[in-house]
Amino acid sequence: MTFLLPIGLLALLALPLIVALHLVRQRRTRRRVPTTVLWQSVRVPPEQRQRNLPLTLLLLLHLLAALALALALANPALLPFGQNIPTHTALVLDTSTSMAATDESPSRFAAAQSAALAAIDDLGENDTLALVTLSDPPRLLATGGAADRARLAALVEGLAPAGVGADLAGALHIANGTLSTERQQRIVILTDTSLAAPTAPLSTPAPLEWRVWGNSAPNAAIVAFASRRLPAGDIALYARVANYSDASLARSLHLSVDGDTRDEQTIRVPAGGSEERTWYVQAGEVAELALDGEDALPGDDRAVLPLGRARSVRVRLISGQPDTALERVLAALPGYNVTVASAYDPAAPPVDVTVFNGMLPAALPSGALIAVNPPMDTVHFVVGARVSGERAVSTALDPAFARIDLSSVQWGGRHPLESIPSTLQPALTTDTSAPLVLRGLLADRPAVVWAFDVESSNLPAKLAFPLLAAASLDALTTGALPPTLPPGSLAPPAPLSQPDGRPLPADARLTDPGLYRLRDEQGQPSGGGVAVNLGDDVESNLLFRPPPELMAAPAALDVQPTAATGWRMWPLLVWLALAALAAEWIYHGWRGRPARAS
Amino acid sequence: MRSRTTSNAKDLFDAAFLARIDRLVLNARRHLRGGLSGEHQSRRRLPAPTFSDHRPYSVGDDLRHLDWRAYARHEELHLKLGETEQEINVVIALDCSASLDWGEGDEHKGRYALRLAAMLGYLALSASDRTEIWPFTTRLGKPFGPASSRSRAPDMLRYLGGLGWGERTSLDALAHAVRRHSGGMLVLISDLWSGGDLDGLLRAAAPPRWQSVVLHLLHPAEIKPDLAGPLELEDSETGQIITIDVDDVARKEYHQRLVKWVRAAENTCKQRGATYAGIRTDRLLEESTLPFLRRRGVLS
Repeated sequence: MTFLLPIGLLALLALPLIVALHLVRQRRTRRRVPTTVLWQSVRVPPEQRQRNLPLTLLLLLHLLAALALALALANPALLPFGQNIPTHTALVLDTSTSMAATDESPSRFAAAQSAALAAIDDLGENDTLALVTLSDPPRLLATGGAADRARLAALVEGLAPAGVGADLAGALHIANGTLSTERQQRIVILTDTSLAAPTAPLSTPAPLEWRVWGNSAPNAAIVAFASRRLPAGDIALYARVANYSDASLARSLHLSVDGDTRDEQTIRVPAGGSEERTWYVQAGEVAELALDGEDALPGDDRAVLPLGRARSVRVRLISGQPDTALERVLAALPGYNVTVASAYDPAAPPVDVTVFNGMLPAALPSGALIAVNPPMDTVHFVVGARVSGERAVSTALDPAFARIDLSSVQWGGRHPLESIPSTLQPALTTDTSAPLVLRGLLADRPAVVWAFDVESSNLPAKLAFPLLAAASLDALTTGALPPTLPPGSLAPPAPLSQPDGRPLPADARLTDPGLYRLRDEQGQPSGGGVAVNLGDDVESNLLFRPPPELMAAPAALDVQPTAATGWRMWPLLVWLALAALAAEWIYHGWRGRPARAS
Repeated sequence: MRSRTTSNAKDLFDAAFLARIDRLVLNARRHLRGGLSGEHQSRRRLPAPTFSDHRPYSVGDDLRHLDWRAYARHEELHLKLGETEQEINVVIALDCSASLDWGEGDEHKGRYALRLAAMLGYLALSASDRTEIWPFTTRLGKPFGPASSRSRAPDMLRYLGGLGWGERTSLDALAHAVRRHSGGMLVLISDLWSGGDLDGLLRAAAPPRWQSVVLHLLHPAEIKPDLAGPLELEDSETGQIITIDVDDVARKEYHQRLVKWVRAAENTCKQRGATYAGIRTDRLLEESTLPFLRRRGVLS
């Protein structure tokens, strides 16, 4: 038997109360005796008086009625052997970088991962589980039942502690969204509580269980490592080292560029403080910084940084019109080696980016593409009839084009794309939601499409024109890659290799710290890339913080388990209570008759 | 206070019981004075057919008792003296207070008292004793008798069948009546739960004028009460209610006080020359009580 509403058992507190009332107000029976003379002189000292519980029929009936009602309130159910109440568990797993700390063996995250796998393994036949990452932003990875154990376990095993920030309110919101009234439910948060203060009130209608790993471990970290190219061509390097402990530290800081040691020094950082350092180096490809020694989070003791492009980007403009504004703006962009051709030659040497202006062959060259004003006879799109009078909206849909405002451009009429491949997404649109600029893949090649004629618009006279050209090229080349990305970020749309050299799958997340290098078509490193460093002011601080408090939860979901709840016993118990009360009424009436002389 | 009439007198005794008790005789002490027609041996020296001594003739003496042989020898008239059987007064004082109305069936104290009174009254009538029955509560009720013949037994049984129980008890009125009486055998049938003074009664009924027998009736539940727990006890005579928690300790103390009180009554009787007999109403009258009374010398 199990109780569907265990809180109803609180009514059992009435039982001792009933006993106490019977002791206090024991009913005195009146008995007629020949004389009370001898009884009057009987005086029993209080300490000798036996105050035993009167096990009268009335008391037993009262206890029986109270017991039956209390059990009925707890909604007991008899389940077939081996069956349990279906339960839904929302498992919130912290995937922030601090979970990589090794103060728990082998790491905080490994311990939490094991707990998550154990919860998946314990799923009963009718149980379900939702897997939510405690990250920024939080994500609902999957939901499933006992039949999905393998899939859920694979998802958990594929997670890694790499991410800055943990949006607890968002994760709870997602977890709450998976709750239902068909099962008993709970939310389990697996974390180390190195959490930033929540930015929104926390609440949940389901019971919340915190499972916390980690101790207040001292840690030092490289929390900032950046570069800036100076006008003279040198590169300034900046780093900040933080000490998250109660004692000052002195550790050796080692700087190398392209594998060559450029500086080694002892850095002293006060307790709870930080120290900054700056270096100036000449051109290089990759800078690396390392703190010696060991602490609870060794991953943030190292940082890496790509130091700009190794070579100019090769751009070929194929345009039937000479000396176009497009040619001029491409040539003006620094870092791009632009050649111009009047027709497409498939045998021409490959370049990094091919710009087609007013044409688009069926067989496209390798490398990235910019298709400007695609013709109506192209096989890659369905180009519609000419429209005019459109205006661009100022809000970009693609962050790569966020700084570009085309709202003042007069297009002079254009041919919009009517059938767009799903691999291309609008980046800039008109006020009628028709795409002006698209970005994505065209025939498996990174591509940007300008669905307008540059020459028939006044775009060349706008500042937005060179910005649009630069943004389009940056989106297709290393120029669009930031030098660093937070751990756990989605990989940018560029062919990258993982720090260990393996190709990075498309749509993967950058969870391992290190340099993700660009690859060419042959899969070889082509210079440049994006770095992922673990050091962070929030995640590197491993000092224990108590779990945030939840605000008063709204009324709990009214659970009405419908699956496998067995036989409900409350009607029987209610009838039993009523029978006991009826018997008590009859008994009371019988005892109320005048006492007979004995 | 309640009164309840007894059941019909017919069921008090059956013929078989009357036949068995017919052989019993009330043992009246020889010092009691009584009439000259009874069946009790008396110590009084009276002119009698059986000779044991002489005294000079006085005018008015019965000439049938002159000893003519003594006149032939001494030429003086002398009367023959000897022991003769006499009748005595038997007074059965019957407690009819409310405390007697307690018990069930044959153990009912009041019914038991009536049966006992009927038995003793029958014996007295059978012995031609001058029998009276005095019912009492706080005052004396209408008595039965005096009667001296067995033929009055049915009247006596009818009388007893008409008695009831009620009111409180007091021995004072009884003592007063005893003082005004000429004397005899006083048989007090009571539970002694009285507001009166037993010692005062027995002093009033002191020998040689009186021979007192106290038959102290107690119901088994008065000796070992079947009471337990929190109770309100209502006194059957006074109506007083006391609250008490009866447990083992209380019962033990009650029993101690009961024994002390019974012994006090027994001692009082002993000091005043009365015969005390404690009688449990669960003892069968003919199988237990009568032999008990025989052993105590009340019956022979």
